[in-house]
Order: sequence, then structure tokens, then C-alpha cells
Amino acid sequence: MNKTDFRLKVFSLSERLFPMVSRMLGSRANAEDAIQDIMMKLWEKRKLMEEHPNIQGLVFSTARNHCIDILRKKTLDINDSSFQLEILKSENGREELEWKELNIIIKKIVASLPEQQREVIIMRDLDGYEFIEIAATMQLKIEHVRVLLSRARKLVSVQLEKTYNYEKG
Amino acid sequence: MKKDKTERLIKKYKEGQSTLSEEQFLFDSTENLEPSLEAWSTFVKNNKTETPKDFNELLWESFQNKKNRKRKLFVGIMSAAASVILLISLLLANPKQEELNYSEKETLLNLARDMVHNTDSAKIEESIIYENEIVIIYTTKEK
Repeated sequence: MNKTDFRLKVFSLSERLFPMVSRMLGSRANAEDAIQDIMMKLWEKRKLMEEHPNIQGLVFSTARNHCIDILRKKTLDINDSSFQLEILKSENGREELEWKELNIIIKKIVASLPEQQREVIIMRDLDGYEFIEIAATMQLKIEHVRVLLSRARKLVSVQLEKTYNYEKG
Repeated sequence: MKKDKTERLIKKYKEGQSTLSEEQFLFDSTENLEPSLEAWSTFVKNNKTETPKDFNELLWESFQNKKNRKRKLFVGIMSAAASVILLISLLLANPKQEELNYSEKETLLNLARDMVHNTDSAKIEESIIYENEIVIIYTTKEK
């Protein structure tokens, strides 16, 4: 695989990797550095990649494993489903407080989901990945991803309904 | 009509059968959404990670620089290693001559002294014929 092919087939996926890497590592700067390192790793393996049947899958799973390695090395706090929330912006203080409260509730609900369901719902709804990309990253079949996503969405919905009903009394 | 569409989409969404664009439509149209889904869509909108503009192009530039730096470093290390190997091989090919010890030096000096022994011991008688500031003319006679 030459430089042009690499740029076209592999490097062009950097944009798609960004949401996942950024979420896993918690910042844009960390994500940029990590994606560069991932691409450097892949560049060194470009000869092997040439005949790989699923380059996209390889890139996504390499990126995910790289992030997991970084998190293990740094022993970062990856509780709460390993995604970080930014402070929400709103026009008035009351709304901000409500949004913060809502976010804390949803964050807890998401954190309570089984690991695979949690990962799938975040990748789909927050990161905006296609099923094929999620399947490649998690090394699952697309149908399995759909099932996990459906379960996760239903669980989140049920938990949120419970919260609303509780608030209503 | 719109309510029907939304309901159909919600069903597809919960079954994990909706497309990204359908999901986007669902999150954008908060009307007719059940409260839990509305809360979820708000959460999603507020926490979505946006990829920076021209990310690939910017990253490609820095990737190129990093790749070049890495190659230069590799070339530097290889040059240094090659120099060290060259020096070692030169040293191995031309080993430093061993220094003679004192007894060997003494033997050699004695040998040299023996070679000049006769002239050294000969006594020579000189008689000056003429002498000024520049020249001395004399005759010799061995005893």
C-alpha cells in the first residue's frame, strides 16, 4: 500500500474515529495525539493491510484497543461508562440546573447498562456511528449490534419513565 | 400524519432498525415525543462529539511531520551505530602495538651499546694545526 492509498483508505477514517477516541480519552487534544499514534501504527503495518479483507474494521478495532491501552496505562477513572459530560450551556440558571440534574440522571442510567449495551448505545446515539462501524469496532455481527442497541434503548426509556413518574409522585 | 410518522420512527428506533438520518429527524422533532425520549434526545444533542472542521487535512499535515521526524531520528541512530561499528572494526583491524617491558628494553639497549662498543672505547689523540673563530683544523691519531 503506497502513501496515496494509505491516505485514501486508512487515514481518511480519522474523522470517523474522532468521536469515539475523544469520548474514550476525554479531550480533543488527547484524541488528536492518539489518532496520530494509531495512524503511525497502521502506517508501519501498511504492507500487511494491503490484503486485509476488512480495512475499516481493522482501523476501528485498532483505535479502540489503542484507547483501552492508554486508559489502562494511565489508570484513568473510567467509571460512568467511560464517557465524559461537558457542563451544559443554557440561557438561565434554572434551566442549567435542570439540565445538569437530567444529565446526572441519564449518566447514571447509562452507566448501569450492561457493558456491551452501554458501548453500543453511546457509539450509535452520541458518536453517530453506522451499524457496520460499531460491529467492526466491537467485533460483533450487525444483527447482534441491533439487538444490543434495542435492549439498551428500551432500558434507558423504562428507567427514564420511572424517574419521571417518581418526580410526578 | 406527522404524528404517525413519528410513532413509526419511534418504533423503529426502539427496535434498533432506524437509520442515522431517521434518528436525526426524530431527535430534531421534539413534538409528539414521549418525555423519556425527549429527555434522551436533549441529552444526546448536548453531549454529541463534533469532529473538528477539516480534521483529516490538519491531522495529515502533522502526521507527515511526525513521520519525517521519526525517519530522521531513525537515520540519525543508524548513522551513529554505523560510525561506532566502523570505529570498532578499525580498532580491531589495527591493534595497538604492545609496549615492551623493562627487561626487553634493557636487552635492546645492551645490544645497541655492544654494536658501538669499539669506537666508544677507542681513545683518540687530537693535535690542532690551525684554529680561528670559524674553523678548527686538527689531526687525529688512534692509540
